[in-house]
Amino acid sequence: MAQPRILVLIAMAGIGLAACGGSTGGGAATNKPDKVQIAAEGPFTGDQASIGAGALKAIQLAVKDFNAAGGVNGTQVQLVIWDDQHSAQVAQTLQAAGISDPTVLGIVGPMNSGVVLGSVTGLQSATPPLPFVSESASNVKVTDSGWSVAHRVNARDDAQGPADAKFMIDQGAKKVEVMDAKSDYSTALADQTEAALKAKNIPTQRDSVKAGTTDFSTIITKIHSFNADWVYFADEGPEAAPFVSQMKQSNLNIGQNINFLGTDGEEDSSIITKSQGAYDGAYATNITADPAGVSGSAAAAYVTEYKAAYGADSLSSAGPFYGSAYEAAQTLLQAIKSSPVNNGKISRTDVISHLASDTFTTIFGSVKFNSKGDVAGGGIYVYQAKGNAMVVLKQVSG
Amino acid sequence: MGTFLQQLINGLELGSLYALVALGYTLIYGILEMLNFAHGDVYMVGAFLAAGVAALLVHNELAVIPAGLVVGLMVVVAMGGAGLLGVGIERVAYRPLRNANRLAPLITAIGVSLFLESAVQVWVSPAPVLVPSNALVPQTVLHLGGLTTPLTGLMLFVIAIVLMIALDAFVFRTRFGSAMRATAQDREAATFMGIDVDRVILVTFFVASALAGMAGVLFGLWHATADFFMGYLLGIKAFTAAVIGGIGNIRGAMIGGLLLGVLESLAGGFISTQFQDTFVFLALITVLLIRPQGLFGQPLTDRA
Amino acid sequence: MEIRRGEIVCLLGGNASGKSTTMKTVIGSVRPAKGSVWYDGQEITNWNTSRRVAAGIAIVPEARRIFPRLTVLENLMMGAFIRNDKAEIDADLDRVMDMFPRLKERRAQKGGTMSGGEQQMLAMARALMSRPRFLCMDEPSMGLAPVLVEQQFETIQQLNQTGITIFVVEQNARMALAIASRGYVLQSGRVVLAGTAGSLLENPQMQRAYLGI
Ligand SMILES: Nc1ncnc2c1ncn2[C@@H]1O[C@H](COP(=O)(O)OP(=O)(O)OP(=O)(O)O)[C@@H](O)[C@H]1O
Ligand SMILES: [Mg+2]
Repeated sequence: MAQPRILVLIAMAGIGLAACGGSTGGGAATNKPDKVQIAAEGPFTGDQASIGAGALKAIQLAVKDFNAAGGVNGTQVQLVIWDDQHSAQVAQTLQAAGISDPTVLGIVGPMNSGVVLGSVTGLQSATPPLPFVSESASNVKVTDSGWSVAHRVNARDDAQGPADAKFMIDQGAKKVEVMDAKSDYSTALADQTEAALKAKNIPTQRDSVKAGTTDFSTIITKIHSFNADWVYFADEGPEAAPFVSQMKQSNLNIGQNINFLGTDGEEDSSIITKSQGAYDGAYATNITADPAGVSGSAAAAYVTEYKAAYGADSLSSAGPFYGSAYEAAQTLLQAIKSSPVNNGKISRTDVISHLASDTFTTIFGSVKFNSKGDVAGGGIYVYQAKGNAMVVLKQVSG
Repeated sequence: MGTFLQQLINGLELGSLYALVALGYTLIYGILEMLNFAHGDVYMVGAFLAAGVAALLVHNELAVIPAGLVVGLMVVVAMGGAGLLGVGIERVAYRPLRNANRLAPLITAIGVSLFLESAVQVWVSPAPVLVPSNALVPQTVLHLGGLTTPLTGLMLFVIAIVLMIALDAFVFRTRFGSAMRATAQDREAATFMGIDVDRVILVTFFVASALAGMAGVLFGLWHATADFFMGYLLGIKAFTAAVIGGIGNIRGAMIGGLLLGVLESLAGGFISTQFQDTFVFLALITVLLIRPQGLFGQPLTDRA
Repeated sequence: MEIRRGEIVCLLGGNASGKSTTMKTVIGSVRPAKGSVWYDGQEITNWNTSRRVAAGIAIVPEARRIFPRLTVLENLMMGAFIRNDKAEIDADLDRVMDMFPRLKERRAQKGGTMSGGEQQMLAMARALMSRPRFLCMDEPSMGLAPVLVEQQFETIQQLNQTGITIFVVEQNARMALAIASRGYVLQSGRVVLAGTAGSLLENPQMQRAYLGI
């Protein structure tokens, strides 16, 4: 007997929705939803657990904070955890459970672009569609394909190269040594940056460093004879410390006779100590910001809270997305809170329209999504090594 | 011209590192006709041992220890530790397979290599660690005309050359060295002489691995870093150097290492770093086409 | 099988009858599955080769097995590997080089570049460098010209006269029996005939199988 009754309820919710569609829902504030769930999805175990684990903790914290502030008109938000293990197939199975449960109102995640692209059609074609806000999926296709469910708070892959080039040019770059680390990702990024530099008539010299390389003297000699005033290294980190140490040994002093811009992973403050200070003054960009490097009381309070809860307070210990995951959860939760409640129900359709139209208050300031689902006016974050820390300087775009 | 000479210096310094590690490949190959794939990782462990000693003794709270003493301890611990590791690997992983199909020890060696890399990655550090060379050796940069080299780079080169000459003397001028060569040439006949072949093999592993450990120390002082993956690429390069020089031939490994470093540096400096390795391996193929036994190797037919 | 002090004993048998294996069992590079090895009144079955060499056993292996890329001098020094008496070793070096003057001429040459006859001398000289009291020789005449074979057998007799007990494997049964006091004949790993050199030379079975009569 129970099953038909649920069906009826869902049908009624559907009718109610159609009837009130677009209404301001004046009575919503007094209307307490029966049940509100959101999902956290990402590779929480498996090969990318190091990225996923810190993000999950951030989302758990965001839900806890949101509930402590009253939840959705008094209803506590329940968090379901979908560990997709970096697999689109696993993701589809997990998402199916959410698609069929109308009280699951949105997803924070998925984290990997490949997982998004392999499962998004299911989310989009659900009735109603199930929206998501990713904290780390950077492939351009995630938001370029016209899916209303797709949102992300991190920058896109194609934002970084032009933004990096513009940043160097704005700082007065005359001749740039462009280096890649021979991975697909790094080579593509270096190509974009180099193209953007060349478009502004900045001469470049291109070099590659194979993973595992430990001696850079050949390249450093080339930097000397090229007379570069900037070095751009599209790398994920491991080579940066030995490389800048060797630059210094060869009298290329960052901030004095040379500037250095690194990318994702090179905003890690441990590079400063590992290079015995040679990294001081270097810049690095990333598609998300480290809240510990951002000025602002909300970010600082969050870092304190995260550290108290989990003992970690930097990208290297909490993972690169512990800030953006909290930010993504904040946008989704605020969109849900603003959505009308009818007969104890909130519709995902309303959540999607609020995600599209509202401006959200996050630890990184105000955030609004553009028509694609990217952060409007968003860009990449520039960090600088100062003393023993990497400080977020500003957000730039190309 | 200046740039050319500078790249030559860069290449000789890198090449002396290759040569020190290549010696190990060639010593072990010479005596067992096996490719000790884990040798590059023994170098990596040596670098970590040196980094560990430095981390414990530099900036410790108890006492200020003179830098010279710390460096001395780094050398002893890294050479000794790497040497014992090599001996342990031989004893546990290779000896039981000495009379097996030639593929078996190679596969075991790859397993040992993966094990060492994962062990260091998981138990020590997945990220590069610092070797505080600032506090240990003068960071002087030497200038000659327009050419420069860090003192530590010159140190690497000089010590590597001295060690190579010492090894050469050990192998060619001492009785034990003769026993090593005899064992390499005819293991059973060596036993007929009363030579304890197992011991000779262990000593060979110890010496080869200790040299790799020393290479790890010198690298740490030169470039101030160690990471779990550092032995992989270097191991492949050093092995290539050993093959170019003629695997099994000690002087060949030395020359092969220096040659490879210079070649790599010049190819990167004047052609392209993107295709650097392509040129290096092209050189390897050319050498092998013209002299399949390598530059200094015995003609293959000469094996009695 | 038994070899007494001061004897020359020869071991005969067809190909693959187990002659070399018997020699290796004596020197210790092959361990017997059954049976035991005794030397100087002591059981040495479980001794390793170094210990046996130190106790005075040496071998001139089949096919010489000199070290091809060691010099003649280094090859000889390998023969003395278990010894530590530097002065005595030098004296022995002079002695074997006097015995084989060719080796003296070629002392700096690589072993592998010498002729077959020279290599055989080297193998013999190398074995002597350990100052053996019991010398095993596995086909010392193999591949030598007839003149050299005779020289070789003379040398064996001379060595025997200096007090070295000799155990020699030979295909050339007639020559071996001419210098030996006794002999054993192996077939498929078993002793099928044994006796004094004279009795073996007269044995009809022996004559048919090995002496070509
Ligand atoms: N007692 C034994 N029991 C089992 N196998 C044996 C025995 N003796 C010899 N063999 C085996 O017989 C084979 C030939 O032995 P060996 O080389 O000793 O022969 P050989 O008489 O020296 O021959 P050749 O005249 O060709 O030198 C080898 O494979 C050896 O392992
Ligand atoms: Mg035989």
